[in-house]
Parts: sequence; C-alpha cells; structure tokens
Amino acid sequence: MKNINNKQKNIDPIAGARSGKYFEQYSKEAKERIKLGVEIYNAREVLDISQQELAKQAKTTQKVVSRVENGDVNVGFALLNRMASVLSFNCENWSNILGFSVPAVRVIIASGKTENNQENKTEIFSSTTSSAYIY
Amino acid sequence: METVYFYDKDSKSCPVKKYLKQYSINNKDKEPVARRKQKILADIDAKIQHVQDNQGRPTPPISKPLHGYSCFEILNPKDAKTVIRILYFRYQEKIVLLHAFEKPSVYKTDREKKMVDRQNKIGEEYLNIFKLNSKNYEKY
Repeated sequence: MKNINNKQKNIDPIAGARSGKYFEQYSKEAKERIKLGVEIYNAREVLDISQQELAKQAKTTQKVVSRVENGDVNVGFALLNRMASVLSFNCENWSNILGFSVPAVRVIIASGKTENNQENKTEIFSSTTSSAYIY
Repeated sequence: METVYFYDKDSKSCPVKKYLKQYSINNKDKEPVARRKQKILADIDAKIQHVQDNQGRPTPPISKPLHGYSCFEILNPKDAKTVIRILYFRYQEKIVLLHAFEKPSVYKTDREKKMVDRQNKIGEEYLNIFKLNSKNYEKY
C-alpha cells in the first residue's frame, strides 16, 4: 500500500476558491440561509405539517418551501413574514436565525414583601418561558 | 470531527475534488461566470461545514440519509433543473466525502433514474473501498 502522502495531491477547488474576492460574502450568505432553512424545517416538524400545507397557507409553492428549507434561495420579507406567521415563530426562532441572544425580560405587576421579609413578585410574563412576541 | 475527500487509487484522484474542479476559476472566466462558480463552491462549503458542525449526522434539511444506501447526501442546486448530489459517510472520527455528481431535480425518464442509481452505486463502492483501507483520503 502506497502512502497517500507521497502521491501528488489533487488541487482542492474549494480551498482555491476561498481566496476569491466574493467567496467570503457568498459563504456568509449561505450560512445565514442554512440557519433560516433549518429553523423553518424544525418549526414545521414541531407543528407536524407538510411542505405542501405550509406552502398553501403561506401562499407559495411546495418547491419554494423546499428550496428555502435547503438554504438554496434568498427569501423576500413578505414571504418570510407569511411563513413565520404560519409557523408561529417566537423570539427563540428569530434569535436562532439572526444570531442574537434573547435577554431575560420580566414584567412585574405586583411587588411587595412577605412577612419573612422576602420579596413577593407576581410575574405575568417571562421571555425565557413564554412564546409571546417582544418587539 | 475531520472532513476528508475519499481518494480513489484506481483513478488516482478524489472523485469529489474531480467533480468540483469544473467550478475552479480560470483566467478566461468573465466576472459573472467567476461569481457563479464561487457561489456554488461557497454554498457547498457552507453545507459541508454545517454537516461537520453536527458531527456528520444527517440533519435534514441540509443532509439526509440516502434511501437504500449506507451513505448520506448533501444536495445543492446547479441551476433550475439540475442538482449536485454529494455523497458522504461517517467513519470513526471522519466525514468522508465519497462522490459527487449531477442529477435532474425531477426525473422524467427511466434512463435518468438508472443513471442516478448507477452513480449512487459508485458512491457505495467507494464507501466499501474506504472501509477496507481508511488511509485512502486527502484532507478537506
């Protein structure tokens, strides 16, 4: 068995392309499309709906949904908004796509102290547990 | 987890590298062609990186098990009617890129289906060859 290291290495086209002036930009865009596609796919799986159903409700075609999930196309804002609405996207979904962390937001409607001098708060909303939107 | 290209001793080349060579930019390429080639390679690279980030596990929608075969597939569009299929599998701590070919996005004839089956079988053969000698690779 010959040692592979002694053989003439074939040129790696991807390694060669990395030095191209557009590669970094295209690579970044592709990674963002993949994040969006994975999030849409996961949300659709949770709701247990088919690409066909999502397409119908978001007023597009199954082929488009498939291509979005595969990270092959850029999605316009209107279509993204419709798909997100059908899939009930929450803060967590958007944070996964856009890469920001969701701060722990709490809204307190009542605050006081108990007999033991401990704080007594009534929490009506927590961004970390609720799926409600925060904008 | 490391990504590697399978090296075929018979053809003295890596099948995936050999396929992707057509997207290497040469000096004669005009700007739109060079951009298109870089975009295809960047898209494929991003998908391979995603697979690597997931330890080579098939993570739909980006990579899926190939029905009837032991390997997984990564799909990337070439144009409206053609898709690039890259076959890979996990072996020990490696993601091995076995084979790449083009296929129609929708099969219209038996001939097209047979051609795709033939290519899938070639990928499966590469997988078995690699298992026999896991030193047949080049780094990604």
